[in-house]
Amino acid sequence: MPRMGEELRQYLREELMPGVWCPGCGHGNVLRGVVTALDRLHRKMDQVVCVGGIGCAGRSPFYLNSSAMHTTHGRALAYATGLKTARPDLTVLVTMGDGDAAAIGGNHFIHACRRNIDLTAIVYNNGTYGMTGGQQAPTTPAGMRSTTTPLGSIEPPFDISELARAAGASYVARTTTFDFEELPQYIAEAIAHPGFAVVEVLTQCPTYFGRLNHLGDPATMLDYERDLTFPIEPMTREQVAGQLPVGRFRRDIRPEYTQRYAELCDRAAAAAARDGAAEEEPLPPHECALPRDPYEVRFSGEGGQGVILAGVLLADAAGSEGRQVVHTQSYGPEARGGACKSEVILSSREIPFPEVEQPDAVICLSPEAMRLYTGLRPGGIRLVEARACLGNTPAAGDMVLPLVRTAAEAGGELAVNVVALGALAGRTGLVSREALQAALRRRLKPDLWPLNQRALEAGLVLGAR
Amino acid sequence: MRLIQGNEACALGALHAGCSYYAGYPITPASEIMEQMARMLPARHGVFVQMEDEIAAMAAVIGASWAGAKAMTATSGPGFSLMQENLGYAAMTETPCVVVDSQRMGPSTGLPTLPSQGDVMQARWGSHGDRPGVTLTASSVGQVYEVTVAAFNISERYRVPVILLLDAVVSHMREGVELPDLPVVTRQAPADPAAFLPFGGTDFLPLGAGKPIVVTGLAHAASGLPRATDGANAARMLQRVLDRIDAAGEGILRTRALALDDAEIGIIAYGISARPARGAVALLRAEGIRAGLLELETIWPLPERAIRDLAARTRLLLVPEMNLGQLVLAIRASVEGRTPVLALNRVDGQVFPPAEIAAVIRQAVAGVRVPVEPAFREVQHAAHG
Repeated sequence: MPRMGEELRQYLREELMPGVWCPGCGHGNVLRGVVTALDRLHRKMDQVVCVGGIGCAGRSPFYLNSSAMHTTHGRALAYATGLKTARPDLTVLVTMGDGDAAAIGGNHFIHACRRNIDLTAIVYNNGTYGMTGGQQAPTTPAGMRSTTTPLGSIEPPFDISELARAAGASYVARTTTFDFEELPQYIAEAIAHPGFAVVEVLTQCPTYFGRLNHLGDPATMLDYERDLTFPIEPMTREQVAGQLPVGRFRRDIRPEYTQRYAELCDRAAAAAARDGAAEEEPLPPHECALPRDPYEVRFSGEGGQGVILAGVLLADAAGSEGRQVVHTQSYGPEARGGACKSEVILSSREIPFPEVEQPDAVICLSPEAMRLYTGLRPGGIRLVEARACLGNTPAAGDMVLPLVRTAAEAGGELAVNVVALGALAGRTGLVSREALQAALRRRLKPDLWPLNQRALEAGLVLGAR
Repeated sequence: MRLIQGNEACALGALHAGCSYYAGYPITPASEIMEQMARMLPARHGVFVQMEDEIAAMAAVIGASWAGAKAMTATSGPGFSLMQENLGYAAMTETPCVVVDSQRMGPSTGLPTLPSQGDVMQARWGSHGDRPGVTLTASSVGQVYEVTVAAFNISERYRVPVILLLDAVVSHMREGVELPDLPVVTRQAPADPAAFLPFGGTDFLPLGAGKPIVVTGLAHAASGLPRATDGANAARMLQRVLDRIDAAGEGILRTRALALDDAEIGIIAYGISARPARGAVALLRAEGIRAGLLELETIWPLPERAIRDLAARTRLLLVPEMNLGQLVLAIRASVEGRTPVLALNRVDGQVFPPAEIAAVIRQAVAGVRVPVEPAFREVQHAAHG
């Protein structure tokens, strides 16, 4: 092989050489491919960042004279995603071993492929864990030995290029350290490619993979690589059954992540400029004293009934009238169904403890909530949806109200929460109609205003009755 | 005045502090922080990325920080565990970033919608090796906003990852708040970029700013170049960062005092447990028991001087925590037996009612041992000396 040209030395951080790679290791050949590609593309090294994982291949960033991030095992692509999304103008190369890419970092690898972010992933595939002493990798061919498969591997290996293609990488090529011309060519294509590009390079580890499998000296291992593979185009070697294809498998142009994100930002900024929020007139302070100070309210029901929103609306409205308020919520894992509660404390003073201990007012919208959330302060009020009494016996003093039916009459059962809120306000005078109306407008989309305004009015009437 | 949720206050605080980058993975009860950032960052030309897991989220945050962005992520206990690996990398590489952990009751999936304070030790010691573990907490929505700004400021000024521990109640609670215009600190570019040593001090140059910079999780020299077998160098490099945090002192040790001037009984609380502690102080004061509250907004490093001062002039300290006794271990070590330190603990996902804290103190004052109830385990320890 010809010696590396003097002109390429400017791309290397020679103060860290010789590095960790063993004599005869193929990783130096891959690095030659990288610097040759950067040279052909006239990339300025101060605009290049090389991000590496952990292991022999992960050390590559140290030997390039660019900025370098030597990260954690398997995570290089995730670090690079952070870097590239924050600085899309940088050329970001990611050097990984096969363990990095296909074992511990497999999840990051497939998602980087899917996102199609403009990174160049160079996977140094030597079929083993070299730095840790020659253990089995997810790419170790079946039957081959490693220090953890002394009798030969019984696992089928990952085909990294196939994986990259299936996961959506828009440029995928595989080559070997034997393929002297193709290696820099594919890496250059990958760097220039506007999207997520993967170049898998089969590279020799004479110290472990070669020695444990009796593959001979490094030069003989290059012959092994040649015989293991066949080029798909041009067919310079004859294909033998069982050989791995090498070549450029995919080069598609499809929307790139940072580009799409920049477009999204422009759309969002334009929308924000259009919808600049109008300042609201502050409401006068609520004149009536609270029935008890602090006053504790609990809305309860099941997920999907708007229980949490009812509490938020009450807190928002009361807060806008100068009350101190705190709202808390409690729910289970269900987004729909399952008991949940939403509690509000109103006070004229600072509220030390934010949770309701003994509510002054309780609203029950579902049978389960009626059973589960008990405890009412003596003299407190409980408003119960008629249907929640199913299987439950209302307590003496409960106000059983047709909240769901009233909501349906107002235009939709979905507004039962606002009917209940209106009924509470109508009964207690905790907040003014105006404050509730304003809170509805602040918290709901305009297309929901008419229904909820009607529900609020119906609730106020129901509560005051 | 605005009615906002704790998680919303966190997002607004981050934006005020100049956060321009969020990477995350959804998890209850932290998801609203992520949703707010997804809504607010693009219009400000900030970056929001939803990553494939929390490991990747933490990695992306560090990558973005080295691109020059003020970056954050938010998660809960299970995700925080996954972040520990790269949080260690952030510490090793002196990377400014903010990690919010809204705690829920564990271990494992546990009680996913209920609050906890179980990640106190994870925040301090969760990643392997020693590192500074600057950790802040908040007990009200307004405080979440202020402490989030402080988290960024400390992170930027001292070049350390800062952890903000919230919990399911504080995250989801809504309160009416005024958002003050707080001062903002931003990492400083070196006066002489040519002579810049990436790990020489707290000044900072991002990658891609004209000078090649090497960042590695291996032990390294001030130049950034690896020194993977030079133990003395590694120890020295770590010590610089620890010394930097020690020297910051009051600049990062945030506490709040309630009725401490004449207190005989001190409650030391943080996060959501500080709220019932406030209520308990009011209850006890009404009975003539001179109780006061030292609320810790910074729990790591522990504000040891404030704790020792309090221990020196009180008959009893009580530490209520929604875990089985985590910060109390460090508090006892600080107190060194100056006064008895009681631990009040519960792991049932319920916030202490004020009356429960008050009852423990009332009975301790009367010299009565508190009965152990199934809902909470009370551990009473004899004074050390």
